[in-house]
Amino acid sequence: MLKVEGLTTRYGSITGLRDASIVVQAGEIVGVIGPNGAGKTTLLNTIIGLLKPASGTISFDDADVTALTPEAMLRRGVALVPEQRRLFTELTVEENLLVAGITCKASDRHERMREIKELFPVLGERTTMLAGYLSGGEAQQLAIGRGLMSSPRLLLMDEPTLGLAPNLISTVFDLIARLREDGTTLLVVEQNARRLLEIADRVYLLRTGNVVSEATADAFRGRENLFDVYMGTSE
Amino acid sequence: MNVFIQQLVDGLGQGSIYALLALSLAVIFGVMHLVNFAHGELITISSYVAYGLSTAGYGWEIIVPAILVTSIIASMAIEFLAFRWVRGSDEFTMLLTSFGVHFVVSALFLMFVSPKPLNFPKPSWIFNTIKVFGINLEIFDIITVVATVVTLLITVWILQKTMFGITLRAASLDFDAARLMGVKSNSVIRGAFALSGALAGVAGVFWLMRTGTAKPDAGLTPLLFGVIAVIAGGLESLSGAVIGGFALGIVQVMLRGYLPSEISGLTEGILFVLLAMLFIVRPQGLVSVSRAERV
Repeated sequence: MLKVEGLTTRYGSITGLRDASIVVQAGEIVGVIGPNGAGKTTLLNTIIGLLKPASGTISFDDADVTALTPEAMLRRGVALVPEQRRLFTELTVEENLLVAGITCKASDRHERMREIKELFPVLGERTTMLAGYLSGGEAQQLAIGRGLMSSPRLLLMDEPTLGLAPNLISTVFDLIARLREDGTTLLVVEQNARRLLEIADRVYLLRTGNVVSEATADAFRGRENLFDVYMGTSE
Repeated sequence: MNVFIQQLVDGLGQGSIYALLALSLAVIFGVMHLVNFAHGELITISSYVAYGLSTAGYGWEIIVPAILVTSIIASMAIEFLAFRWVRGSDEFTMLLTSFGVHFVVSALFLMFVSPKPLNFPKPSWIFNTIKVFGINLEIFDIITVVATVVTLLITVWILQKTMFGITLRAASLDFDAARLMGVKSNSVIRGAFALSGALAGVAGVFWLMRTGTAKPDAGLTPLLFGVIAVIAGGLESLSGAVIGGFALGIVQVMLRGYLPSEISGLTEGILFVLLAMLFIVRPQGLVSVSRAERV
């Protein structure tokens, strides 16, 4: 479904991502783990088109989508739930969803919004509330709801549990699993590697901009020294 | 008391023009983080259109819509010809670009039209007054305030109720996040310049009715007051821009009205001192946008 080959992204003289290659098959949950500064967010931002790669290719459904705009990627069925949610805090919950539905047909937009509110009932209860006043868990539900407004076939999620209370973290992972059951393919960047391994099919490990390891989640789970692998003190 | 109310209405009339200009500047600042010093050119270009139409024998019933259309087209043309090439550059580059546009447009009129001010007739009713509860008020001030309130209500409706307005507000809060949602950056920026041009056009109509003059720097003075108003109101707040505009107009007229005649020439100087004092007390301007709420 998604194939990234030899992707390099630079911020001026700094290389954020170096010759990275990953594959995501339809119906999978694929995890990307790694320490801070490993290039995880850079990978997602380059796939979605917020950053232009210096080299490499990205293909989606066998079509070259390298350096397409985020809007063009959305129209092809790829959406991103960004790091730290990036909600429009001075817009209401409903306005946030409306903006996220801009690529939908105008006639379908409200129907899609109704479906999202069914999936996240709390959003239905907070329709007219400014997004800046939502609690952390509610805000994350809105962020994911926005990502789903365009009915993506591939959803990229960047640190979806960052800053959430432990009970809410479980809720988010349950939701990710449920989205896969509903037919959405997911590429999830997450610091909480142990929890991600519980639901992911395969995992890529990034370190200092490089993909240093790729394995099934079972293979990663079987490694007792996961922390050392994660931090680079053991392969 | 009567004099005070007359001054207040006069201040509201003057402030209406500043409020519209400040709002139009704030709309562009929201999506591009640009204080657009080329914005005064919309009034400069409109002044020559007004002069041309007036010379050709047309009245204000034609000149008013012509100014509005000119301002919208000029605003979008300046975006297309100048700002789209520096989009994404740092704020200093965009600021210099706006200065460049100002100097180029002024120079073009200076070289190819006339360095001298060209006068055209003001509306015949501009100095007429009407008695309300025993107080003489200028009809022009009342019309300016009413037209401004109607324009602001239409703008609020556009921003609150239309998809364009909601996406414009979203892009003003977080441009990249709006792009991630599928908002086309070209469309939202062009739309912002069109809306901004329309607002400046309404301000331009009343400014040119009052001055009745076309000259290469016709837009400079209103631009400067618009910039002061938008900074005083809080650059990132649309409502702050409007409040800043009205406050500036009222303070300016009150100073002119109540300062002793020997120092009335210091009106603008005192205005800037008051502005400096405002920034000491409220560095964020009259209306602040809470950063803490932004995730």
